[in-house]
Amino acid sequence: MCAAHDEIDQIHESEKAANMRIEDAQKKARKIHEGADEEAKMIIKAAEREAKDTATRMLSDIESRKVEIESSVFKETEKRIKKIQDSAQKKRDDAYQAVVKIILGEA
Amino acid sequence: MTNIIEIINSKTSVKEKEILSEAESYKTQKLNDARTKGKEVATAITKKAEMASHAEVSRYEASAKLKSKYQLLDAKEVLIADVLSSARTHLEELVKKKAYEKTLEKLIIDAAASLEERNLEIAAPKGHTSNIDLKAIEAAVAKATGKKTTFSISKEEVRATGGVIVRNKESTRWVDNTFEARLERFESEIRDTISSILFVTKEKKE
Repeated sequence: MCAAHDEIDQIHESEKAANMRIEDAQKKARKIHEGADEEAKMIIKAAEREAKDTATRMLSDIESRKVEIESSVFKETEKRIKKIQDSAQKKRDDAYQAVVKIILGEA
Repeated sequence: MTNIIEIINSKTSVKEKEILSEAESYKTQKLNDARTKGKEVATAITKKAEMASHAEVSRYEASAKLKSKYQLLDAKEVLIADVLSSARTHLEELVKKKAYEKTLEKLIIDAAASLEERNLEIAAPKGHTSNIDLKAIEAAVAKATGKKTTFSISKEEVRATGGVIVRNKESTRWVDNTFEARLERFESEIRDTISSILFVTKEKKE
């Protein structure tokens, strides 16, 4: 009878220990879950932060791009104006004589 | 009894493993999802910035090109103005020359042909009427129009560099052939002519 009690007690102890192990495992699992949730949030935030930095760089690069455009268009315009002026200079006399003819009714 | 305890321990170990394994799977999945989500968020942010940047640069480029176009037009306008100024100088010089007589004659004939009146009056700038030979003009007009027309010189002095105003006696119909009036009347043709001479290249003409 006493031996049987002891055995039942041992089984109870084992069950108790088993429950505690399961509880511990569940605690660990919860921590893993919580850690994973936190880490996931950090991953998203980090990606977001990095992308925002990239976006800021992109937008600040616009100013230098604008300067490039301004300079390139200005140079091209100056070149074209010079070309037009040089070409027009050669035809200036023809042009004003044509105007005179129109005004004098000779055209 | 030992057997029962072993079974309990064994089952507990299995359960433990299951719980932890599920947690690890959850973690792996959660982190994978987070990385995917992170990439999506990053792509959306950079794409938006890229588009904004592209749009801003395009707007600026278009604005710079438009500005350039205006600068070209301004430069052309200066050249046109220069030609017009030379033409005016030429006309100012012309009125002092003998050839001006022929010019006046031509302008009077041109006006008379348009008016088709028998009696016409000529008004010219101060001192210019001395260049007008009425007989010669009447003969030239008769030859040009086939009709006899009588001309007289008005006492009115016209404010102009040169040219004439020709009108009927009642002053109800007239042709203003002063240089200034012709310049204004033919402005569009004059500007087109200057532009086509100065700015149209041979390649474009073809």
